[in-house]
Amino acid sequence: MMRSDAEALLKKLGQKDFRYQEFADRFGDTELWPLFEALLQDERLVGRPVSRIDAKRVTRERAALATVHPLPKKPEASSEEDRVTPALDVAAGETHPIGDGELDAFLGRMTPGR
Amino acid sequence: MPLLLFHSPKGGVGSTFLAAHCAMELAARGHEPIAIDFTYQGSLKLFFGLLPDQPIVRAGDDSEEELVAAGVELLDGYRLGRKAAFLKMLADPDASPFPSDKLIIADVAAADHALKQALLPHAVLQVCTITPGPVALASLTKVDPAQPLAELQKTLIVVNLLDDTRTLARHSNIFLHSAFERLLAGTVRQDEAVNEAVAKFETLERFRPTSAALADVRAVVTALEEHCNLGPRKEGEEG
Ligand SMILES: Nc1ncnc2c1ncn2[C@@H]1O[C@H](COP(=O)(O)OP(=O)(O)OP(=O)(O)O)[C@@H](O)[C@H]1O
Ligand SMILES: [Mg+2]
Repeated sequence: MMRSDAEALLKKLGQKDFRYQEFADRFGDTELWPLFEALLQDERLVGRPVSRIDAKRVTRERAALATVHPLPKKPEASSEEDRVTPALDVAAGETHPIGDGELDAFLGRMTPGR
Repeated sequence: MPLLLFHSPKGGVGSTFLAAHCAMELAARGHEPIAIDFTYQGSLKLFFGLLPDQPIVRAGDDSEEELVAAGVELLDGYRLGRKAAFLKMLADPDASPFPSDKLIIADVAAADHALKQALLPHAVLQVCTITPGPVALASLTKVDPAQPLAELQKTLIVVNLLDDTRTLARHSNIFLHSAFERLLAGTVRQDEAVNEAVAKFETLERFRPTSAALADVRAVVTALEEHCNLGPRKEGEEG
């Protein structure tokens, strides 16, 4: 089953017949790869980035995100569990719901020229 | 007739595979394409079921009899792509470097960026093949030196070699389709039958008609036809 937020995002993107929907990737998972975000901010890919106001909004949202999801403090894993928990599962947990605001921010970054 | 330019800033992504199979599929749809292999490697012919030592007619050499495989005329353009006279002709945007009544498929090596840039003004379309991985994704910043990818008008991206059991590959594929939807012509799955056919000196169509990659290529070709307004042509049609 696809999560409803991912479904809503895909709908917004106008990709109702998205070919790989069946793999039920939660769209938000793709945020886990900083490369994607870097590419979406790369002028050689998306052209002139969002206006300065938009840029500020994105920064604010990122700041908010950072407070909600602080980076793990200890780099060295202290227990077996710490070592094997992949980032994907951490993000998939209930503590990381994809709210509309986040979704919009992501969308804003996803759609070149918006 | 149009020139379809197959070039990717990243090597080893299946650009030659895709050029060959698009040419064969376009031939099956009645387009009579000529495929010109501009690479030193010269591996385009392998996807037509030919042997590595099969000599290919040199582009510009009218003395040899034409070589047609799977409905596609094959030409070796490596030397042509290095000829000063040819490059000079390409520099003139009004020049017609190719026969006007044929559909030309050009395979240009990843590293041969200069030739790609020279051919591009004469092409209706650049097909940029990409694999769903981080290094290939990052290379998309180099598709055009002067223009952002999202603004390119005659570029289509094809994702190739998708292994959907891999998380990052799946995510990369979704990312590309979402962020650059307008430019995406499709995704071709990784399919070992592609390599097996080459090893058997058979076309994929003959070796494994039910190949997943082949089905995906067909969808890509439909997208290319639509983008270039080629329109499916069936036998007996004139023009
Ligand atoms: N969809 C696919 N499934 C399985 N194997 C594939 C697929 N596409 C390409 N290959 C294989 O991947 C390898 C690289 O393909 P190809 O030579 O077309 O890449 P290329 O981008 O043209 O590389 P180069 O930079 O050397 O020109 C080849 O062995 C080819 O058979
Ligand atoms: Mg090649």
